Amino acid sequence: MCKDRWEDVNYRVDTCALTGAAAFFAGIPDAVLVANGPLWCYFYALRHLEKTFSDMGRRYYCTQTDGQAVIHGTEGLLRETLEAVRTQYSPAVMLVENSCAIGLIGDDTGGIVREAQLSWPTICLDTGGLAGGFGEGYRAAAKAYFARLPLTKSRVVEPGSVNLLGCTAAYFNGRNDIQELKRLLTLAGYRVLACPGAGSRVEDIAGMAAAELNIVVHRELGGELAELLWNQQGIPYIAPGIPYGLDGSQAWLESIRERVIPRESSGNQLNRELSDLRCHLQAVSLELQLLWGEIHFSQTLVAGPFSAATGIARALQEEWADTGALTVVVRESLPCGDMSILTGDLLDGSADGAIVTERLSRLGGGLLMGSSNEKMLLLRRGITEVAYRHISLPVHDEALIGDGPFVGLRGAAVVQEQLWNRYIDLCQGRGISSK
Amino acid sequence: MALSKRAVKITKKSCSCTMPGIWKAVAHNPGALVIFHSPWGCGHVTREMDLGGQYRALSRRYFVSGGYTAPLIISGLKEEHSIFGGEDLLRRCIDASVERHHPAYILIAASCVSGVIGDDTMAVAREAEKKWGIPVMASACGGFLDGDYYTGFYEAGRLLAERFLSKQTTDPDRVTLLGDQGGPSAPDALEIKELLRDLGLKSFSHFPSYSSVEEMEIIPSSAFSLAVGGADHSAVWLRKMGTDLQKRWEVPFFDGGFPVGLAGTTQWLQKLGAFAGREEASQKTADRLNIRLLTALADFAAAVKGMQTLLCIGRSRDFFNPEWVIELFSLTGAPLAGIVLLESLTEEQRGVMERELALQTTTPVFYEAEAEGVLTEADLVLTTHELQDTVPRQLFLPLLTPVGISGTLTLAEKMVRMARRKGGMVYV
Repeated sequence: MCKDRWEDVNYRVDTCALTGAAAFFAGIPDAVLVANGPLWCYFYALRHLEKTFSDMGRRYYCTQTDGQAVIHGTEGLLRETLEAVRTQYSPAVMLVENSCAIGLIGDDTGGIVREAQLSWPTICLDTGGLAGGFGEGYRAAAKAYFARLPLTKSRVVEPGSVNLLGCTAAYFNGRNDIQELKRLLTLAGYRVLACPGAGSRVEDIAGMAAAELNIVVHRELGGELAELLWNQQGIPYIAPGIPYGLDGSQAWLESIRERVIPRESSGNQLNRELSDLRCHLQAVSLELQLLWGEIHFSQTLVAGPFSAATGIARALQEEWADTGALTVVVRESLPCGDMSILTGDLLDGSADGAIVTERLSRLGGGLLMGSSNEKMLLLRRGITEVAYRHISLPVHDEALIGDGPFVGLRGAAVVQEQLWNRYIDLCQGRGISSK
Repeated sequence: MALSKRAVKITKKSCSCTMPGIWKAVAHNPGALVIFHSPWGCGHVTREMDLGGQYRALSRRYFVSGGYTAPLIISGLKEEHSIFGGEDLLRRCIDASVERHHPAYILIAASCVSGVIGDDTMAVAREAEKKWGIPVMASACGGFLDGDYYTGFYEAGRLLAERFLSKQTTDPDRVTLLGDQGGPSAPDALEIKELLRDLGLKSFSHFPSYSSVEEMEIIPSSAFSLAVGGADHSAVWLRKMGTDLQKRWEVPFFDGGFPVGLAGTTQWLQKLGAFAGREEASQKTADRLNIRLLTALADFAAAVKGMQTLLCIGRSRDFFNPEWVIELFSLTGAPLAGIVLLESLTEEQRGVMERELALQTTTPVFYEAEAEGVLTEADLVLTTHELQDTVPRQLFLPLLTPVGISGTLTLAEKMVRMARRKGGMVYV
């Protein structure tokens, strides 16, 4: 049964649906977005997105509604904003998203948009906090997109081609992860036709019906869309999780290969890379083990979006480290009844605050893989003897400039390197610190 | 044309909400608990804001671990409540919060959603107070509908003052500080406390923030109150708070503005000296500051010699008074080549700023649309908005006006550092 949700918000950093919906459209480079709501809500969504999408400030508009607009309607402000878009852009698609208060007053946003006679398709959605969190917004936007711009029914299947669903660059390190997934699939002999909401233009998305298989990456974002495209277009899908670690990547590719035969037999290059990397990582690890012993922690806490947190936790246990007692805290509400996970405790960040507090308070000597939020909770308690690695937003205390992913083969090396370095730091008494 | 890296937004309306102001007012008051009668997302926004402030403190080396953080509970309004109302949800939320956290008092912030639905949060608060026997207060604001961050901050202060302050015997040296400005360990607070100490005054509290119920009770023993700092926009609300204390609790409010820049701080000290009957000490402090600043700036003009420097303003006068920036140039004799008013200002805001600049300086003023030439030729730009890369060296001016002369010193130091570089952006 679902729990009551009256927990201290300190443990919950999920954004509202306004950001999630905007993230899907932000991931379509030729899309323009309009938030029909107050600047405050808009700025928070913008700030969240522009960390990844540097052009967001230019193609994300706001109607700047105020208390008067709630009484008299937003028509004038929306018309004005649509005119501004018309003079500056000719997008392939546009999202108009209502904040919660604006959604409640019942403006006919669709009618106002129709009257404006724009030359591009526009999708109108109520996506404020009443609609839920990031995931709800992203999913609603994705479904609305395909309802407005449906794929053509008669599809000619291109052998060895796939689409990636449920990806977003608005997750921490999301852009690098998407690149690695594409690289991995290309190396394995597949052609990636589209990643809706994660870099594909409208034209690319229109061609995705030719794929043999849809691959769901982040289940909480892409699961429903995959089901929809299966029902409407007959595109089969799998949700093999996220390929963290070398074994995880191999298993991920294997599950795809069971459904789709690669176009080319270019698997040799992939196998060579995999085997070279495995040898290299093993050699480096053994060398370090001679001096520092194997990576082990008394406690481990992993916090992030559902698929990333559970995927990383699994790879940690199976490949990367001795985690000790493992706790996984997921950001969004857990799907009721679906609690299956690895050997560890799965907590709901929105409802299990007391247990999260307790786990954090005894994390000394342990490992935290989460966001700046969990790290700050430790700092405020003066608990600094903890190895720490960012895996999710918000991140306020690390620069992310390079192109190192967390997923795939390259990701396995990146994460293992970071784990070793954090572990060596911890052995020398250098955990997280406020000084 | 100068284009912003982060596109310049014309901010026609206030860009904040009352709820985070209410939260921030009591976020570190021992025993407080805050409930947002709102959807979940509003909690995230506030949490992000608070988290950013904590990392800012960490980055500027004034982070203090420990201390109390008030639980922030979200009632969790959903679509169904827009039909059936959310009062019952709020009742259950209060009950669960009291049972779980045992707060000394609760402050309820209503959201725009509860405002539109028409939930009577005050009635629910009264019921809960009777039921649980602790103060349960509800604000009269509904999210962004009834004001902004500072409205909420004031509203929380008003509710706390009404509830917790009590008549006391006056301590002639005690001064209650009003407002937050980064908290008790932030540079602005330390600067103002030092100024007060020089006048033989003891600063007390950061009302309504960082105060226990016991500390709030004795606020009326203060000789007077004054605002810590901020922009003109926030000053309105802090002044209202001070005036309330004066009317209701007979704590005089020092309405002398904020000490900003050398002239501003000197003027402020003179007014404060006269107000508190400490003229001699205030004059000595002003003289000391004058010497300290001019000594520190002795080499400034030489260090930025030959630099074509511009000031670009895209914030409205309510949020940005350029006086302390312009003062740096007049104090040191360094040339300010021009002032550019960015397109983020509405026509009205631009007019207000132009009139203000006419009072402060004879430096030529340009509109952004016609300023391409001067911007292209500029070596160094002091700006309220990030500009296109064609402007090689940029110093981003702080959103919160710095208190005292510290802002001037930091700006001068960073300008000198920037003058040595080939380009880039530096945040002051």
